Amino acid sequence: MSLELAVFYFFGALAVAAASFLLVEGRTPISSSLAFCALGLAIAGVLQTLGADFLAVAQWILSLGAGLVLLVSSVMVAGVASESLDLASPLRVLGKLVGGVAVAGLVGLLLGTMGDGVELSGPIALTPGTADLGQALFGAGAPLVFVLGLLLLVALVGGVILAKRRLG
Amino acid sequence: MIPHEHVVGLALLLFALAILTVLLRRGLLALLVGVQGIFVSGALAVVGFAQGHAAMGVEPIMGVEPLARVSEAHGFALLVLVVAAAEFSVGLAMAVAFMRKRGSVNVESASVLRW
Repeated sequence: MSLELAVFYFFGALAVAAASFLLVEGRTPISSSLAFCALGLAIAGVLQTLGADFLAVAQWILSLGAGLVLLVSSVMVAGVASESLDLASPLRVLGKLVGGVAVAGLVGLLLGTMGDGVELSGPIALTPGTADLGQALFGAGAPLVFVLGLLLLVALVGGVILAKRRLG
Repeated sequence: MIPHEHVVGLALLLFALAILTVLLRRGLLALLVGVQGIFVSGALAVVGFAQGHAAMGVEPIMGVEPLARVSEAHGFALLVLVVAAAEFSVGLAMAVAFMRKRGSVNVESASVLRW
């Protein structure tokens, strides 16, 4: 088994473990947030092994950013019980694990970006770079990018309005 | 080279787990994360299918070169991730509003739209 395949299986197993943890143990907001971070980071690792560097970085940023926002909002708004945040909690260990994977993933992404990138072996090795991705997005797909930008703006405004409104 | 069947299989497994999370969990944030898992597994499946499609040959299909096909698939997966982020922002705002009103993260207490 090549190193590339081993890394793919490692991150795949991590993603499945995070999704299973969410399914079985996702009772508290803290555990859900940590499972979300772990799942997103594992998917970013999988994408990195597939040669989708830009997607991996985007997924890494999205999962960590959204996961931290989820964690903060669950602590501040949902009034999470303090016992779930104490030192002896197993969730604390999971949080450290997620943080370690995040740092390792960032180092791996940086090394992959500074080096020659992931070389796919085999009869056909197709790893589009950022320039190719930009060509695809801002060539024929430019109207779609415009619509999605508009969607993000609407989602941002809607999110602010929904979060500020006093219901009832 | 990573077999694209393994990538699609992993995406399928993650999709099934996310669907089960949405169906079985009653925590609001677990539901939100489950929906995110559905989106992300879909994006992963797109990348996996692009790998498999590129492995079919180096000849252009319908005038599109293999590298351009993979690039377009990656662009499409990125768009899926963007849609997931938009959905997440609105979903989290709704979750925050729900938690402030009900003081709970259990969706069983959300019964306004039921008949």
